[in-house]
Amino acid sequence: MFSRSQSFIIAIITYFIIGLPMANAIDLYVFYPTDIRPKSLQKKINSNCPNINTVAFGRIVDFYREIDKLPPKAILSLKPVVSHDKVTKTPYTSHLNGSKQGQYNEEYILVSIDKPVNLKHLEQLKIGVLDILGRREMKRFVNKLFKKPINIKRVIKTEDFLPLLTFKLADAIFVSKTTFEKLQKKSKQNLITTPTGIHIGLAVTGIYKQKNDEITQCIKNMNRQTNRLLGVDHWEAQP
Amino acid sequence: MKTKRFSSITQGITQVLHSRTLSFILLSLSLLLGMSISHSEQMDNTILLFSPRGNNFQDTIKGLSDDLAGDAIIITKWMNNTTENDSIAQSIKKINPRLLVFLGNTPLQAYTRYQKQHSDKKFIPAIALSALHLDRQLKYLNNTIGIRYEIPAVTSLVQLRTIVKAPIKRVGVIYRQWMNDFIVQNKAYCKQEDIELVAIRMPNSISINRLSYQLKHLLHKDIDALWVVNDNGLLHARFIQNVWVPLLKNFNKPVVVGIQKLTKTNLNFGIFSVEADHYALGVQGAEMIAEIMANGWKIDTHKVEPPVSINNILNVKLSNKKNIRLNQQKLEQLDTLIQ
Repeated sequence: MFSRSQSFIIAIITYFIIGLPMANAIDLYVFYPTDIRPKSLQKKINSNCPNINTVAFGRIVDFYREIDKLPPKAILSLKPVVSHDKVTKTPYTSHLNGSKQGQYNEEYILVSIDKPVNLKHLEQLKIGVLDILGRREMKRFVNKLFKKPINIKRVIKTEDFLPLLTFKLADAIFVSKTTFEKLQKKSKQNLITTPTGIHIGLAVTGIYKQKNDEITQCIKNMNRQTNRLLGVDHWEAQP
Repeated sequence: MKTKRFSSITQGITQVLHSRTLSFILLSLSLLLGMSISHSEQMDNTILLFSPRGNNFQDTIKGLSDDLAGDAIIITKWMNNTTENDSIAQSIKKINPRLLVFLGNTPLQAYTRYQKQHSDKKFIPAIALSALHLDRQLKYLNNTIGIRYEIPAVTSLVQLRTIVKAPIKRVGVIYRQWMNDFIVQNKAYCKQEDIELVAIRMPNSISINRLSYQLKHLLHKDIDALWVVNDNGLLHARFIQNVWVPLLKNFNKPVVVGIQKLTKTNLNFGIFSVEADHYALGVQGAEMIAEIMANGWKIDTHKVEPPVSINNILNVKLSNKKNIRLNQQKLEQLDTLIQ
């Protein structure tokens, strides 16, 4: 058939042809950390938008990997994920921003057991965070938010926050107020909050190149229950 | 310069390089040219991983590889019960890694023998994952830390508390004497969540009659659920058949197990099973490795961590049969439902 060098050249060409970014048949990729499993989230979005082919991911690494392979027509995630370099090289130029009670951001707080966090000594503590960007990027992101180097301990599911505190693998966890309220319902431990003054963007939908009316309408008309899962109550085009 | 061939060293290899393109080109070039890779140039951040084959181990390796991408190269050496002890020594000598990873008990036991045979040597840092009763094994190992494989009761019971409507305040457990430290630790964790572990200790050597007597005694202690520990001695087939299954037949409260197959409907045993999320276990291990890497490839702590992330299975059919009322809206939080 082919010589080894011919096979190598064919492999290289095939790889780069397949690797070229182009919008594919999948309409919407979703990475949104929530209590329910990705397949349930996917089912809910699909039932809201039966004409849109949606895939929900449970791990950020898979989400980025698939976007890199074949970008979908739209992506839905938290704002720091959609704005990340790994995604912005693909032209998701048109955005739909999720809002909650008129706000596009949500306050994030530190949660610890029994006593509040002394923010002056933050550098000496281990802070649990949900990994939404990957190990190295997450560390950079958290350092930037706190404007100082933070020793982080990552989890890949929101339900894993509580074990971090229970097993003392972290001194505190850095979570949204909504996540804290859920933790409070779940745990009987004496959870104490410390405000940080940090706000992080809510869910955002990025749409590939040009406006896609079908996807825009679907996201805008998402029912209350699905919106609540995505941490928003309203969607609107980027002002 | 001394050179080594990848193919002759490893049976499995996981390349973790910064970009997909770079890894593809390097692999293609090495295949094309049958290239020898320079030891000193290629092996700077090399991690040598020993593992048995199996889907769970593969998931853990994927978690490790995904998370360390760009920072380390992981070379996997598959092991089984018949793998010669010398293979660890040979692989370490050939690959000269910065760190070792052991998945499962078989490779860890082989490494324990290796350390014993080379007690005059200085050992590089090592991480142990997916090995049962890790604390006991680590007593005999130098410069080795790890993540326990057993899921602490509190993780399972807090999850159970969210999905069943009845209160979960007192949970019974039977254990053998050798697991005493594990139970003491679990009692403390459960207390934090306002759950009391009602524990019955048995000698290490047990019989059907003794286990039967103690289990009957425990089930009459006004408990809200039963937690069955992963102990081969307690879960031997003859005990499952002659003690657990017959006595739990009329116990209409949740039984939490640590092995998926014990939740099978026809077995009529566990309604809720919790196992480690093997991919997440790899990520948790990768974080330990990243800390060691940042610390100049030195372990500065002797801590053993519990696993943080779980996969769970609820047998809804069996729950219904036992009239255990469930919070239906919470079931979407679970990985698998047996309907």
